Amino acid sequence: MIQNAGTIADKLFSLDSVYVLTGLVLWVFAAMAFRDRANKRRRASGTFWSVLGIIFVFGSVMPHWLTGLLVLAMVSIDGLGGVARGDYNEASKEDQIKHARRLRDKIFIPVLLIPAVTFAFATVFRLLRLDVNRGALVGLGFGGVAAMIACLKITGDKTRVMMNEGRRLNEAMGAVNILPQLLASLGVIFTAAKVGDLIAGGIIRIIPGDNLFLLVLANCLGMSLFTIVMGNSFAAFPVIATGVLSPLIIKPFGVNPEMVAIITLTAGSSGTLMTPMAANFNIVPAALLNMRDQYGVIKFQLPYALTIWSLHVIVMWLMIKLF
Amino acid sequence: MNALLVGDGSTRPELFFDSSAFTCFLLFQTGFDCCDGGAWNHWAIRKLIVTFESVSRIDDKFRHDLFGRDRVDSHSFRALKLVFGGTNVNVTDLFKLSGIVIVIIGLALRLRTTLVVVAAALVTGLGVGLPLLSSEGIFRGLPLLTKPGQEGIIDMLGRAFADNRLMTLFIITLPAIGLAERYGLQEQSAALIRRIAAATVGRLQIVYQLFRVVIGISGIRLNGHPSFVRPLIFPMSVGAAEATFKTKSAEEIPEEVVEEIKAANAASENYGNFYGQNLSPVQAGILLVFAVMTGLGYSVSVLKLVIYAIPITSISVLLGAIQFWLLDRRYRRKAEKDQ
Repeated sequence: MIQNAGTIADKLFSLDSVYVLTGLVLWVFAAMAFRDRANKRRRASGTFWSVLGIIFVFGSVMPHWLTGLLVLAMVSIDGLGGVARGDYNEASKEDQIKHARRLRDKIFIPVLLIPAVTFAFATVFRLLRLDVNRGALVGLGFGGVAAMIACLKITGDKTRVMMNEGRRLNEAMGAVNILPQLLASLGVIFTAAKVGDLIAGGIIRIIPGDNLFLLVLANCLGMSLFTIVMGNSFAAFPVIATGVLSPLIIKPFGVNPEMVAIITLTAGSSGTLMTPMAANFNIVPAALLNMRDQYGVIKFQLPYALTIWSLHVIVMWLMIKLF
Repeated sequence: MNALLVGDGSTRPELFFDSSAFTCFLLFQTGFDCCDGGAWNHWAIRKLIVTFESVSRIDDKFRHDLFGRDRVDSHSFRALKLVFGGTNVNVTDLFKLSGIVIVIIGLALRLRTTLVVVAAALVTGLGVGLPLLSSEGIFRGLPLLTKPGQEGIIDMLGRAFADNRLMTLFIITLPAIGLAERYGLQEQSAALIRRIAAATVGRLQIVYQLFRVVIGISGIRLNGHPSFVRPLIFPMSVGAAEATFKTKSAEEIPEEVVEEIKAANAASENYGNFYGQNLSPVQAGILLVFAVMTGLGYSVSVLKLVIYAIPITSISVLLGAIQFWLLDRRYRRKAEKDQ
């Protein structure tokens, strides 16, 4: 009996259960998109979000080739411009101010519930000697649900309105939502194709393989340069991690992968601060603020970016030496 | 770059890029026959009777015997070991890099990112001769599209995409955040910033950067430029500048100062956003690192990743504070000089 309850709890607090919940949310978004006459591509948009929902709900049981084909279908829909926005019957600024005056800081409760539940789950999982990663992610899922319930209670609004607001945020991001997943997949295929070994082989011909400082420098420089060219540090990370970080730093020097991986990612962020390719961070704000010089934001960020980039090299090298 | 053709003469030669005469020397010394028999111009070598298995014999002891000393050109040696160490480097190298080229060119041309990434994955996979589909189930033994014993590209794509659903889990938080926004979340956040905001331009940017770090820690994904910077931080900064320059209206503030304030506003958003988000285990950056490193076969923990992000995040806040403090000092002096 106890064992039975244990398995039920295990099933309930598994990643699969939060994937299914997320899939259901996506299906609601999809159904609303299908009925949104203000969206010129409502059928394509609805299909895109339903397919993502299918992958979320059935991803663990479907054969991989089918998931792969569904991903290709989603990307084709997006490639043809099929993921569009609609009308969300948004609240006016005046209404928002009116509500803010009435609810005051209470409106922060649902939003703060999300990290609170996330960390609570991670802590409990740690205490029970379960996988902390799973704890944090399952916590995020249940935190989202707890936040929904709290938000409905506090605002007294309808579930339908809430889901529509969620859809507004989701469609504002659009197909970019699935980009991290696609980039992680690209990393897997790069690994299978041994792209990393090739890059490592190229770098080792320029830099002596036993000079840790120069390798750290090459790692951070490569990361920033890729980011500057692509405008996206997330796209650069799988390439640099498989090509430089793992084969030339982590493996030969026996370095803690967590320590250097996250510093490599933020070395890329330093590149993001310097590039017009990251338009939504550097060029769009200049336009939003009516700046004379469209590169004004980048020019202001440049000394900061160069300083913090150099510090990345030093911090990574020091941390490897010290720990 | 110099190329060295390596093969046994009966099959297609493998192309091995190298710039080091040392490598050829080593091959020669280890008993491989140089069929050209000519001078030691390794560009000219067409056929070297070599198998990769025999190269793996080169170990440290052998190196010692060969040169009679411990330290040799470790640079070239590593290159050789790396290239031959179980990895078959050949003509398909060019295809291996095609994926990276596609990503760079595609994103530089601002093509649709999703399409570019998937195209890069497919071209790289096909280029190195991976099959499209695994030879399993209904596709077992399917000619052209499958190869026995190899995982197909589409299968890999589907497997990785399903495994990494965790990166898109944040969708479940959107309904609550959306509804909270409808009920004045942004207005109330603005009120919060106003309550703790400081009197000068620089201090305001410091406060806003810290606010963005806190937003990042709480796991919320937000592009603050349209929602906070333009409607709130910019007008507040101009107000602070009016006080510093003792002017009655924004028009009297020197124009280059207003332009710089705009840049500082956008910068404090970017600084806080980029480096602050890594302090949450459920933000995209941490999850991407987690997924990629796991894919490379390391066992990593999201919480440890967060802990190792702390030094750089602290530095980012400190550097921002210095830059904004210097801004304040410059404005103060300028205001004194102008009077």
